Amino acid sequence: MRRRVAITGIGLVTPLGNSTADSWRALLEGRSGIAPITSFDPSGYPVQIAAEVRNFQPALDGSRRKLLKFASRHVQFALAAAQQAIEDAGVRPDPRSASRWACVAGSGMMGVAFEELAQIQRRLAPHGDFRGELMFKPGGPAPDPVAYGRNQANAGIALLVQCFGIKGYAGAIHTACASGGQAVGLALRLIRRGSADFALAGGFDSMINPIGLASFCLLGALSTDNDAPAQASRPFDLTRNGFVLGEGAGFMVLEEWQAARRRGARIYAELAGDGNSLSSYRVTDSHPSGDGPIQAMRRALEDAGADPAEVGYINAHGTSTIMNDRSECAAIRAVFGAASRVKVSSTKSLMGHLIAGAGAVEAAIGALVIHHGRLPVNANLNHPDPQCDLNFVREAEPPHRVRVAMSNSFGFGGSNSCLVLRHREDAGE
Amino acid sequence: MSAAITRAEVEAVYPRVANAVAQALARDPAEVSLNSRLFADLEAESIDLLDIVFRLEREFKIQIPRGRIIEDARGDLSEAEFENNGVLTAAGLARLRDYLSEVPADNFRPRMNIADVPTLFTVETMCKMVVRAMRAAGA
Amino acid sequence: MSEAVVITAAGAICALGADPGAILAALRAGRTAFAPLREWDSSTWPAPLAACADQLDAAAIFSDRKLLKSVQRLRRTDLLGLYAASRAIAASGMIEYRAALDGAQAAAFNENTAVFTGCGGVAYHYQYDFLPAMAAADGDIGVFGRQLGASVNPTWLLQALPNNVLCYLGIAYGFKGPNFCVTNHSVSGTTAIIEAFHSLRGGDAPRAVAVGHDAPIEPETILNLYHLGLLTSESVRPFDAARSGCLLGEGAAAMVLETASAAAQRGAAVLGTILGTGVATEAAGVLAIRPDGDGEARAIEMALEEAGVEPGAISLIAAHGNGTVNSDLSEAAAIRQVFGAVIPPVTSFKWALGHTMAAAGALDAVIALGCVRTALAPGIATLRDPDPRCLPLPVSAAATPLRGKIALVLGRGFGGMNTALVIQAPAEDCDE
Repeated sequence: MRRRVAITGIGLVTPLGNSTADSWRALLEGRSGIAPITSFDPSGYPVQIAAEVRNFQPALDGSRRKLLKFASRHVQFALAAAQQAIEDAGVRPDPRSASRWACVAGSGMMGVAFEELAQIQRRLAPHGDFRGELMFKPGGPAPDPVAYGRNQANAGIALLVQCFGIKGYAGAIHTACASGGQAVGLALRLIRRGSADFALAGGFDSMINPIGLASFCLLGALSTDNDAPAQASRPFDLTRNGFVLGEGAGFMVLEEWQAARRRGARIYAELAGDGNSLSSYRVTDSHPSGDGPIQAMRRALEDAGADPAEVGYINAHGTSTIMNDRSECAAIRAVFGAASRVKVSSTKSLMGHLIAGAGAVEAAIGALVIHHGRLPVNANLNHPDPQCDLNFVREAEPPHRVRVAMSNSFGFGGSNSCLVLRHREDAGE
Repeated sequence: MSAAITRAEVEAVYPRVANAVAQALARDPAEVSLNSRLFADLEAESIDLLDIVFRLEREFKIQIPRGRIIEDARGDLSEAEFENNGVLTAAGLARLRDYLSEVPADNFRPRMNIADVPTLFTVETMCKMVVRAMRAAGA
Repeated sequence: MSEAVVITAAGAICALGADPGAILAALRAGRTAFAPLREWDSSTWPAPLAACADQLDAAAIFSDRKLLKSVQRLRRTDLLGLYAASRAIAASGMIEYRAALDGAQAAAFNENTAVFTGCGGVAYHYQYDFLPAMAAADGDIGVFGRQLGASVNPTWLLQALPNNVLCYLGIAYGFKGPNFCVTNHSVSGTTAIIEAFHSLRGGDAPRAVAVGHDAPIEPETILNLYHLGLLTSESVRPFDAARSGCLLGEGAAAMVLETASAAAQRGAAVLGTILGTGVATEAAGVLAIRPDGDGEARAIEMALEEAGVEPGAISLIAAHGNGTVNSDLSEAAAIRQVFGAVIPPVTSFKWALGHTMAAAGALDAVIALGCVRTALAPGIATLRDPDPRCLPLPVSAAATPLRGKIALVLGRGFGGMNTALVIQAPAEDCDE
C-alpha cells in the first residue's frame, strides 16, 4: 500500500502579504501586488515595476537571529515562510524525529548582492575588465566569510535545516521557473518511498535587484507597462506583453497521511500526484502544441490516480507571455479535452512571477483553494486571447467544493512540473 | 521617409553581418547568403535573434532598440491601423511587405501575428537594420 | 520487491583524463594534475594551483550541428557536464537501440528516459560580465541600467541557468522523462545519481542519465576558500598528519542507469549495480561541520540498510577525503562509528584531481566502480604519515588489492550535507 502525503502546514511570504492569511485574502479580493520598484532606482531600466514583498520583517527569534547575516533577501523570505508553515502545522523536528524530516526547496539562482559586485568592480575592475592579478594584493577585496557563506547556491537549504533542526534528507533544486514545483514533487516522493516521514518543502526567490532585473530586461521577457503596474501582468489576455517579476517564498509541511491523522492534524489537502517532464525543444521557446507540459500533466494525474473530470481548478503557469500562454492552453486542451469547463486562473496576474518560488507558492495556493473552496481570479483578463480558449476565473465565485486541484510550472530550459492535490475527504483511506 | 537603402550600402556591411550571423549560429560563413532566412534556413530560434543583434551592435558600434523593425514598418500608421490585438491588419501587412522588401512576397501571410514577424527575417534584413542604425548615428 | 538498478555506461572528465579508464590509470600511476591557473593571472596568488580539465573537447559534444551554436554560449561547467553525459550515452548504445525501434516505440523510449543533473549553480565570475557597465556607470545605477545593453549579452541569464545540462541533453537526445537539477554544493552530483536510482526503483522510468558537473575554479572562490583555511599552497594529502587543505578541480561524471529488465531487454552490458543510497544533513550551519561526523555516519547507515548489506560486506570506501583538517577528521570519525575496528580499505581521489565540488560525488562513484570492477584501488599517493587521529583508517600511499565487489562512496558539502552510495561490480567482471 503506497504511503499518502498530507499537507498540514502552509507559510507564505508574497508580494500580496507576508503571511498565508494576508496573501490569500488579497488573492480573493483581486488586489495586485505589482507597483513601481522601490528597493533600488530602476529609472535607467526599460522595466520599472515589479511585485515586491513589502514591510518584511525577518522572522527568527533569539539565538537564531544571528543566522540572518548568512541570509540573502530571498533566503530571509524562505526562513519566514518556513517558520509560518511549521507553526501552522503544529509539529516540528525534535531530537527524536529530526532524522525523519526532509527539507527540499526550489532555490533561486545565486546572486551576489549588487554592492558586493560593486566592491569587486572598484577593486579589481576599475576600468571594467577584471584583473585577477590584483586579487591578493594590498587594496584587493577583503575576505568576508559571511558573505561567502551567504552566496553559496545551497545557503538557503543549509540555513533552513539549521534553523529548524532538520537532519534527514536535504535537497536544493533549480530548474528555473519549475524549481518550486519540482522540489515539492520530490518531497512527496521522499515521504512515499520512506526516505522521510515529514518534509519542509517549498521554494523561494528574489530577482528584483539590479542584476536580476537586468538579466530579464536583456531577454526582453518583461512587461514594460510602467504606467499601469496593476494591469501589467495579463495572462491569457490578447494584449499581454510579458511577465512581471515577483519575489517571495512558499513552504509547506508535508506528512505521512496516517501519522498526520493519528495526531489529529488539520489537513489542507492531500498532495496526491507529481508529474515531471522535459520539453526537449528549445531553451526558452515553448512548443506550440503544448508538448512537454502535456506529459507533465498526464503523469501528475496518473500519479494521483485522478481523472481529468475530477479536477475543479488549475493554477496555470500563465506567465503572461504569448508563447507560454498559448502553449499551456494547447496543453490543457490536449489533456482535458476540447469540451472541458475546468476552471483556470493564473495568480501571476496579481503577484507576478516568483521564478524558483512560483511552483511552491502556487501549489500552496492550490491547497488553500481545496481547503476553502474558493478560487482566486485571473486578473486583467479583459480581452481573452481567442487562442487561449479556456474557462478562466474572471470574477469572484461563490464557495464550492473543489475535489482536485492542479498547479503547473514550466521553466526556462524545458523542465515542466505539475502537482495534483486532492480534497482530504476524497483521499480514500 | 528616409532615402531608400541602396544595394551598395547593403553590400558594404554584408560581409561583417554575415560573419556575425554565422558566428551566432555556428555556421560556416559559406552557408550564409544575403537571402538566407534566419529561422527557416539557418535554424535560428528567438534567443539567437537577440544574440545576433547584440553582435551587430558591438561589431558596428551602433544601437538597435528592440522592436525597431516593427516600429519603423508601422511608420505613421496608428497602432490600431497597424495591428489588432497582436494580429497584423491588411494595412499593417502591406506596410511590413514594403519595409521588408527583401523578403519574398509569398512569405507574408494574411492575419500574421506580430510575434511571428521575425520568422520572415533574412540576412539582408539584418544588413538593412545595420545601415539604418548607422545612418541614425550619423555615420 | 523493487527491481535492481544497474549501471550500463559511465562517462567522466577531469584534469586526469577524459574517460573513466584514463582517470583510473592516472590515479594508479600516482599522477597529480595541479598547475598554476592560466585563465587568470595567478602569479601573485598564495594558492595558484588548480586541476583544469584541459582535455575537454567541446566540439565533440554534439553530433547535431544545429547545437554547435550553443557550445559557444554555454559555460564551462555545462560543457563538462554535456561532454561526460554524451560519452556515457554513446557508450551505452541506447541511441542505436532507439534507432531500431518504430516511431511510437522510439517516442515512448524518449518519454521514459529520465535525466537528473547536479551542479554548483551560478559562479561569481558570471557576474563579471556586468563589470564594464558598472565601471562606465561609476556608481550611478540609472546609468548602469541604460549602459547594460551595450556590453552584456542579452542571453546572459540563459547562459547562467543551472539547469542547462538538462536542457541541452533534452534537446540533443530528445529525452523527455522525469528530471531536475540539484544545486546543493558538493553533494549535487551524488544526489542526481541517488534520485535517478530512486526514480527507476520507484517505477517512474526504466532508464535515466545522471550527471554531476562543476567548474569551480575562479578567483573569488579561491580567495574565499584560501582565507577560510581550506586551500593548500602545496599538495593535497587526505588523512595525512601534515595535510594543509584542498585544491580545486573541475570536471564531470555521468552514468546511464537502467532497471535490470530494461538493460536485459536491449542486451546492454552491466557495469555495476547501485544497491543503496543515503542522504543526511547535520544542520550545523552554512560552512560548519560537526567534529563527530554524525551526518555522514547516518548517511552511511541508511545506505547500508537500503542496500541490505552489513558493513563487513564493503570492500572499498571511496572517502570524500578532501585534505582539509576538520573534514578528514570528522569523516574518519564517521567511518569508525559505523565500521568499528574492522574497516575496509579507504581511499580518496581529490589528492590527484582536486575538489570538483558539485561533480565530486559523481566522479568518485564512477572511479570507485572502476576500482571494484578491477579489484584494485589506487592509493593516496601524496600520503606520507597518516594522521594518528584518523587511525585506524586503513589508508595507504600504495594501491590496494580489493577482496570484494562492493564500494561505498561518500560525499559531503557545505551546509552539513552528506551522501553515501553503495555500488557493486558484477561478479565475473574484470576487463580493464
